[in-house]
Amino acid sequence: MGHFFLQLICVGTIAVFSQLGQPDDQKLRDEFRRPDVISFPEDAPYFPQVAALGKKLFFDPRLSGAQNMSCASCHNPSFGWETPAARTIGAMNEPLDRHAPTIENLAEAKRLHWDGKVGSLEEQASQPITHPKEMNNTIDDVVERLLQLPEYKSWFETLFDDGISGGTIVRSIATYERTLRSGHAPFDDWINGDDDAISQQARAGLDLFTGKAKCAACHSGWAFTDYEFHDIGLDTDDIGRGKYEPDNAQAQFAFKTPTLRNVAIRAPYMHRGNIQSLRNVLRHYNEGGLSRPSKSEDVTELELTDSEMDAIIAFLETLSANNVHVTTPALPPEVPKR
Amino acid sequence: MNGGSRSLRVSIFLPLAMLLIIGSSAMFWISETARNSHEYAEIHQQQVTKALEVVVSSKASIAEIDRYVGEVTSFDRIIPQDEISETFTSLRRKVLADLKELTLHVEMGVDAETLLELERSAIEWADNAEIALGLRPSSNIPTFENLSVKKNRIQSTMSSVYAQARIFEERAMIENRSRFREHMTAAQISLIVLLIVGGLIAFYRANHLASALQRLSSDMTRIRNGQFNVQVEDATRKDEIGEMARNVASFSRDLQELTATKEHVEYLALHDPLTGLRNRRCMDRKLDEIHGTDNSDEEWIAMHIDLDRFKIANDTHGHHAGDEILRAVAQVLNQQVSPSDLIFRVGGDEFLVLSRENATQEKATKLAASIIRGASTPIRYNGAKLQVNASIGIAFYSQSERDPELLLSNADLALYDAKAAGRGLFKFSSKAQRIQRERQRTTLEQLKRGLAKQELLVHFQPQVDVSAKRVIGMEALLRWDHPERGTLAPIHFLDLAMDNGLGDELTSICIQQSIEALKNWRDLAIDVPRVSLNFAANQLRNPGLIDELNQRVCDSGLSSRDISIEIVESVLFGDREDLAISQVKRLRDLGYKIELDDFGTGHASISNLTRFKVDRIKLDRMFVSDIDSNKDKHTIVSALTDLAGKLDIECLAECGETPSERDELLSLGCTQFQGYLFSRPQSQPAITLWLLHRNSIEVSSNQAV
Repeated sequence: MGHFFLQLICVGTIAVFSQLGQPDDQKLRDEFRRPDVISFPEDAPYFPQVAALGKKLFFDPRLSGAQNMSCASCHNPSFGWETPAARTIGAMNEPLDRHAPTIENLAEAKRLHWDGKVGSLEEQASQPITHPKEMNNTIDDVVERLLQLPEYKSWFETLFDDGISGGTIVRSIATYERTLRSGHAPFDDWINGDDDAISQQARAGLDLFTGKAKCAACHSGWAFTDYEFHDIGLDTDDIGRGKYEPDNAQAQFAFKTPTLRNVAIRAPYMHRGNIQSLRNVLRHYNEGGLSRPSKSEDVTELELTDSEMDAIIAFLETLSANNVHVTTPALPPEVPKR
Repeated sequence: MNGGSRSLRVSIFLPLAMLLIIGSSAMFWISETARNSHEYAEIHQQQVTKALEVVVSSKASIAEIDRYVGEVTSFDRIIPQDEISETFTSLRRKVLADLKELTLHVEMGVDAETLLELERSAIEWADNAEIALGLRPSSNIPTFENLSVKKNRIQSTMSSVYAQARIFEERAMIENRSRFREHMTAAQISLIVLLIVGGLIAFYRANHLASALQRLSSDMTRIRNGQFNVQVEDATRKDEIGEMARNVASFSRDLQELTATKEHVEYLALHDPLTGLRNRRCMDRKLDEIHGTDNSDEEWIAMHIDLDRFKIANDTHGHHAGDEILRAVAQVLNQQVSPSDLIFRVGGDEFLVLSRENATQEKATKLAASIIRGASTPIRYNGAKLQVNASIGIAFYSQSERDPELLLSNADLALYDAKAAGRGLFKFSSKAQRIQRERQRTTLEQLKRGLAKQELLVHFQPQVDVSAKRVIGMEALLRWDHPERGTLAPIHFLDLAMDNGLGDELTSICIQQSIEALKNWRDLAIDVPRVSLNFAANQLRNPGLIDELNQRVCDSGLSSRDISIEIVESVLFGDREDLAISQVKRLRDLGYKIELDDFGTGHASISNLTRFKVDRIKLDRMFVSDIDSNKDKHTIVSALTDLAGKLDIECLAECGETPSERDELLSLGCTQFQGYLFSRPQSQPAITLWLLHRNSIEVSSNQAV
């Protein structure tokens, strides 16, 4: 008889506590749920053909001066649209200033580049093409070159009134880029209701992420970024956003919050690509970073235990898409010059 | 079968037919139900299969369109708008067509909501896909994941549709199956019930029939075992069994009659109807039985009883009186013997008693005495007083070497003894008798050997005419030259030979040797006018006798006149039907001479002479002896010789001893003589010598020796 009552109490307690867990879960799920749609700007409407054209251009090295580099050279889809090196070697055979950021989940971004230099993907697209350290080419050259290729020529003329122009080139690329979203990850399964999609450890990590570790302060929303600029106390000379907002104290040493989706495959981390592992990233946060006036108030010493950090890392790993494979397009062939 | 009777056939076939009908209709129903159920199940199975097909097809077309969307949104190829539009439209049409077909197929089993959901999710996806394919302008482009989720929803709804459809069909099939099972159970139960009922009826009928047959069978067995008064049941039934029963009853009666008849026949076969006693055949069987189951310590006696003077009574008072006597005697026997004794009537006036209980000297004596006493009691019949007597011969089984034949034979001998001793007595079979029989057997053996060794010879005794002083003939007398006993006259062996089938041989010897002798004498120029052969009645009765005689006579060149046949009176003057008489007549007709031997000793000698003409009479010794002293004899002989002379019959005297007799006879006119005075019988060589000698003497003197 006593045995039975004991069991009853245990079951009852578990039930109560599981119920207690429910509303939290639901809130989290709602917070991190992916949107169904990608918004395209009115002046740059979506056409699959344009996106496809953009994809070709993205992968076509003939956009670079020496015809050796394409956008994909630095934004490699296999590495989460980044580069495994801390800072990529460019056209001048010198490492670039900053680590190549991912180009996933940027349709909603108001500003692009670590420092928010440009305000649209179109603008951003021309940057690397024309930068002497990067692709070292001119738009005119690109246009010139593309006009030599009948396929490009015909497509541009079909899709755009202007035909091949700088504007249409970057438009195409931007349209393509807008379609890029991180793939479906186990965490998304969890969000869709599958409690077993992420491990207990990851679940605990999520709680820490949104709780003690205060990651969600900046890494919020479905893409785990607020698309804002924050100084996280890194030891660096790069003043980041501060270059464009010299008067904004908070903007000094501030960099755009990168998305955490697929973060586990996008090492090394930070604008200089100097932090190799997620653990070291967490260690940095745990220590609280360098104190300076621009530092975000959310970045403090955390006093996370090793196991807590492990939990957070476990959680972050659940954000990696099940399938990161991106197919490469067929590029129009070189036409032999007579 | 008449109209009023029922046939067993109905009784047998009806339940069988019923069972057959039940069985076949049940079979039919079961198979029909099974077929229907199977068809129904098949249909539903087909439905499920078809639904699955459609679902698979739908899923395939959805997958195809999805793949196309995926291809387009991979952006690896720039596909012209109209191509996208065309392809997508046709693919979508296919999807919708498939979904429509699916809906049609599963309308029955799937709830409307699910089908609506399917349609809705399909449309939702299609709308989103259109945007993603750039077929419909929008600033919000559905993500790949979005499309994927929506596609999955379609797929899962379709799976749910399929599942529902399947459940529906399965339920239908389960229903069908359970309905089938119900039907089957009903069929089984009713079949079992009907079969049990039908079976019981059939069984009952069969049992009934079997019982009737069994009763009949046991009745027949009882009848077969002799119980004829069995009451055959079922005889009143109107069917085949009734007929059989009536037939059996009829057979029973027939059998009863036949059995009674058979028993009666058996009885008659083994019993004497007159006296009710067992007969000779029965006696033979009984003796065989005794011999067969011989217990060597069991003693039996056989009493052979012969009635004396029965023939006289029979002749005097008639056959019915005779019957009465026999019945009376039978009664006496029945009264006197012990219960276990057996009485047999074995002859006209002969009885045999076989007794175990009285098988001692003392008891047998008592019994025999009482039988004689009883038998000699006078019987009243038709106012007359009948009286007979009994002679009894008694023999013991143990003394007869435990051989039934010897037992009878000994009893016979004893009876003969009793009769010889004066009748109205009983005699036990004596050792002397047995010895005598033994002796007789020995003698017979010796006779047979003797015949083979030619010990049987004919001797001759001359017949002389004293006045003429010549031999007028020879009498042939059979002698046996016995190796031990010397020369034996026929009296020692003739009856024995006749009784044992040697008579004919002896007759032949007589004839042969006599004729041979006569021929010899003729050849030697000895005058022997004739030779006389003795024939007994039974010899004369042999039809071959005359032929043999004639043959030999002829072969030897003699004639019938040379032969004289000697017979006793009784032969001629006995039963008129006797073959012997006709044979004699025939012989006479053939020229043989006929002589009457031992004349005067028979019944009505004198009158007989007129009846049959004989050539000679031989006066018996009785008349001849002391004729010289006996006046009466003298007178008689005188008369006889006179008579004979007057009838032209020769007369010969068997004269034995004295010359004075001879002389006396001579004086009476009897000139022919035969006897020791002249010569005793001698063998042929001896008598031939005698003849020769006599001839020479005669020549020299006239003295007759």
